Amino acid sequence: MATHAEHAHGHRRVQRTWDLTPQQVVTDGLQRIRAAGSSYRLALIISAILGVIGVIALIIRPIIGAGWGDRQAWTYVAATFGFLMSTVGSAPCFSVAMRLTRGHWRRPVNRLAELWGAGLIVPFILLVLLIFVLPNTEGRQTLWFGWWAAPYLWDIVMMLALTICGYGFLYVASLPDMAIARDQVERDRPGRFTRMARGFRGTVYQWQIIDRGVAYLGALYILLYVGTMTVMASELILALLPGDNSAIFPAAYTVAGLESGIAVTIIAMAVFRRWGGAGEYLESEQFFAASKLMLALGLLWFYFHWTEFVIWWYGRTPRELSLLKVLYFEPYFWLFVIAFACMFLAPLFVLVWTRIRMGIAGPTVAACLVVVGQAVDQVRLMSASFSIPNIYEKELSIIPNAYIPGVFDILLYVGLAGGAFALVLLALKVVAYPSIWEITAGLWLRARKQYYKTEVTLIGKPN
Amino acid sequence: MSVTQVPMPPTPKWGMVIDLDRCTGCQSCVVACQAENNIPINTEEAYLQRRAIEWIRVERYWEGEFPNIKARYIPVPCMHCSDAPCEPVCPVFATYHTNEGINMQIYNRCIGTRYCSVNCHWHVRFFNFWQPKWPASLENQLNPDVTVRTRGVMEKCTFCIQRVNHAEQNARLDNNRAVRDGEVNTACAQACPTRAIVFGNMNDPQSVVSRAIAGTDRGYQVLADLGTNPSVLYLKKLDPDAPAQSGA
Amino acid sequence: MQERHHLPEDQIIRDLLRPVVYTSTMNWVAFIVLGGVLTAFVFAAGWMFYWGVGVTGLNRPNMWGFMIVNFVFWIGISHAGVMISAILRLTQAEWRRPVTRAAEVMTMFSLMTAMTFPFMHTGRPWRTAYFVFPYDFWRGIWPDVRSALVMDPSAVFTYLTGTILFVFVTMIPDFAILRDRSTGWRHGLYRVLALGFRGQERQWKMQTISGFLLAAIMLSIFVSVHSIVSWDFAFSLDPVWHSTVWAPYFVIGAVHSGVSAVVTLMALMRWLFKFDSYLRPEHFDAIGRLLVVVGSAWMWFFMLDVFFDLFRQDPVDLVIMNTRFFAWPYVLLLAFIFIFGYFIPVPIWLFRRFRRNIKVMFWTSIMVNVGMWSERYWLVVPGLQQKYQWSFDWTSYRPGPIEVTLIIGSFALVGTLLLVFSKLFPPIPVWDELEGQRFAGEIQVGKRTVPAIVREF
Repeated sequence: MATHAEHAHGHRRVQRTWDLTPQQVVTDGLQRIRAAGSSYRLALIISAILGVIGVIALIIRPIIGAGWGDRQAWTYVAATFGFLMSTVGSAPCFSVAMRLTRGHWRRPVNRLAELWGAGLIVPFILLVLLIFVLPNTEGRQTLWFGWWAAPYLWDIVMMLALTICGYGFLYVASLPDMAIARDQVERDRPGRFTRMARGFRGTVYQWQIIDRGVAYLGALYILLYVGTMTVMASELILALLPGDNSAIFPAAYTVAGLESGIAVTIIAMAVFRRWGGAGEYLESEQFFAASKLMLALGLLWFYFHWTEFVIWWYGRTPRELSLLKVLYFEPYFWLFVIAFACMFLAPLFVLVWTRIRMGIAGPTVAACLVVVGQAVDQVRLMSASFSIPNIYEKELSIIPNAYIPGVFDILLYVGLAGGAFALVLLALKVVAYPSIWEITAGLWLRARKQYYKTEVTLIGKPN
Repeated sequence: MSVTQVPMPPTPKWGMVIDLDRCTGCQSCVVACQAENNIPINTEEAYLQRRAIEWIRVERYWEGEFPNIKARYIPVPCMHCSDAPCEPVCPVFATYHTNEGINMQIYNRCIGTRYCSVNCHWHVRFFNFWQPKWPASLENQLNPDVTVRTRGVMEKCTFCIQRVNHAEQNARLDNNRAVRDGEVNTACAQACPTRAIVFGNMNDPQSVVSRAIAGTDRGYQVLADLGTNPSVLYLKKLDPDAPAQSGA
Repeated sequence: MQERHHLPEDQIIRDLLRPVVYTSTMNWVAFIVLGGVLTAFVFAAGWMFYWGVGVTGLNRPNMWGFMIVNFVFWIGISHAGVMISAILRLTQAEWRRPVTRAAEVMTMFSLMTAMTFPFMHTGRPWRTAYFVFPYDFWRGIWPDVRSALVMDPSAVFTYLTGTILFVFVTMIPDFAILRDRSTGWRHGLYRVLALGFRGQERQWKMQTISGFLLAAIMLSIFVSVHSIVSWDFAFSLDPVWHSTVWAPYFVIGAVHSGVSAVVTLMALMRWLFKFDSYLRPEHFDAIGRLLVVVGSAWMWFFMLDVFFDLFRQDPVDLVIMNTRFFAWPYVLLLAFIFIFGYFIPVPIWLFRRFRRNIKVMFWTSIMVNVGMWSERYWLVVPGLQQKYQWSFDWTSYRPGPIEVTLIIGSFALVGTLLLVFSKLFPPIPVWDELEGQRFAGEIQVGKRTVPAIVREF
């Protein structure tokens, strides 16, 4: 009897990763920790400079230039916050999703997705600044229904929980590798790895804690991420647009975030493959699977936006027509077109072809477009919601003109995103890539077997 | 072969103005409509089942708090919305808009999905849950100009389309002129003892109905914020006890 | 997986074909009971057909009631088939193998049952048949494609066609197995259905490719079907119905109830057909884990819908939400939704011990569907009974005995169809089970033996 997989996928080359020895994996993983390359240092310096520029722009434009009374001046702070939440914030969710599916292809990718979480402190700080621009919940649309200290305290608490959980997830998931680094690199002189790895010696009990910790922190991270994105979408966008109670929007916002989270992970994969010496770990199988998920989320992006659009289109009440105008048609029409093209059309038309998904370049290009689309979409949403002069109306009576950014707005957007990236790069100093323990575990769960006339691979699936 | 092009008269837009200040809630419009449009007899059982059919009905509502409470009446016919929500939801085009602004129902096409009623927020679309029956003595009373509906179809106010068609036919025969104001009237407007209901061509600024709405600031539409632009306008009730206020 | 036994192939074939050739006592009892209920269903449908929709409890504002709720429910159940077979097939989850056939067949029959409801529910069903089925284009009477009620039958019938094709394609190897092992009229039937399948390389290739293609195409139909069902409601201007979230919310709710129904069906099959060595606790375990994710996603959408109905603090919405939350019977339904739909089953499914307990899985899955039926009623009916202040006519709705009979009968209809199916065709795909058996292997890691799967790369 012939078999399924054979026909569906054709014959594929065995990924080189699974022919390595554990020792090679350890060597590769510790390579950057032993000696950081010059390109790494250059990238770190550039992004750190960008971060400083971003902080300066943040201080000059909204904080000193406008103050907390002028909501419109904070548009790009909100856009930066949304963009970072949708990239560095959402990439760890991708890692959790991969762990849930329990495929072996995920092993070299997990660490990269989690690494992005290292930038989470930037959106947290931005939210702490931004939250005071919002008026209190008296007499306006809000999710909080007169809770004490809402929205200020609870938004910050949620975001803080997410940030802590993200760092905790990254830490727990890379703890065994820190122990390896401690034993291999800092054998004689105890340094940061000795401090961070604690007493991890790889006992059965400790491994159980790692397993459980990764599972529970991951699940908690996804729950917190979805919750935080829901609340933020409501707080920063829906609540500021009079009459907008589109219940799908928080879901659409979250899905867009998850899509670009996968996109940044794919970009990181491509970068590490090209410049990070991880060519043996990241092959077409990883790009294939990750881009398939990105394609699925791109389709969901369209589906969720379409359901919002079509309900308003059929409803045609003055309230809905004004929302259609402000979000889609009038001031930000071209931004929406770009977002639509980048977040939906690009993944669809590039990634729908299996042959392209099997390659490296196609998924990378699509991922770059998705990130661009996400950046533009955040500008569209935040500009629309932060430009409404009177948020206490029942329905939007005047469509405000498009908010045109100044130099400082752009610098702020680019600079702070660069700053978050610098943090991610810094995290590489203590987090090994490729993930040593996960890949070696994958090596154990493989075997070759003679199957009639061919040799096949057996993949272990522990319960 | 050449056909002489007869210039068509300007298309009317039929509309109605209901002056609530004049309405006494006497229900004669309801009875007149019942007789004109072959509406089945609404028995007590039909009311108890909440399935009574009244193309125009007089609703009562209360205004004010207990000691100063007032009963108010409002006759509710089909609003003939210009952008009617009931129209696009019908799968078989059984309901559609004429170019004269009337929201029509084609009984033969109707299959009774009742979606139009679900999406009508004035509740002026009625479903024939049962086969309508008349007592034998009333069977000869049925209006021959109006279709008797079978069970399983929706029906609704047509602005007495049979009268409108009749008037338009006469006007077309008479040198293809436009229908003059007052030549056509709906049964409810005709029967209203206080002339609270006025029917006519909204496109003609000289018609009674246009003048009724033009010279007042009391006009409003019911559920106007749904954005459907009803063709039935109301003039709000004047309250002699209320403190003077400006605007509508 | 200690419960997995390596069985000889002829024993697998014999076991899985047993329901086709052997009718147990319980089977007869089931036939008789379901047949009785089905008779009541046919009688109630005939009664309504003869007398008209007047025999229901519907009234003027409440033009849609129990039957529409039940339609939504069965369409929801039908979403299990694609969820299980298409998505799990495309992601190559091993545990799908014994579950797929039951899920797909349930999809097919629940779709058929679902479609009878809007059909019976119309005022003049004879005309409805004539508008949904081949339309007389030569008279120029076109349907209005703007209406959700035109999109709806289109989507559902496309889905039904796709499902039947999909079921058929995945059954071809089984028809061939049956053909080779049967005589008489059965042989004739299976010979025709097997389309000359002899297990050649090329035939397998075509069978596999068409299965994959149909699965991928059906995914988009799957999403569209329940979206459009939700748009039947959401396209209207009724407050709380007119919600942007309804389409994905309905879809995820459908998956929640559908996959739970598959669990119910698996447990029943295991009991009725003695499939203990094929529907093993590991399968319930895997499907339970899937349900935790699906259920939680559904809860998220449920919360979004509730919160953003309240978001604007619009009195129109608040009145209806007030009814939904505090008025009888909606408060009871709400309790069912929360308790049965989520807060009992999902925490139970978090524990591996319970996920592997078939009795627990059976009762929790029943519970979910009680909750989900209540959810549909809770969503649909209050939206009609009080719309705007100036709509007047605020009336509640109570179903009549005919409607209740039809609802109960619909369960008997699906049950009977499934039983009849299992008398003609194996309810677990034989070839898929055989393939899974060949793919299964073991790896020795240190002292442990880990179950493994063959991959060709």
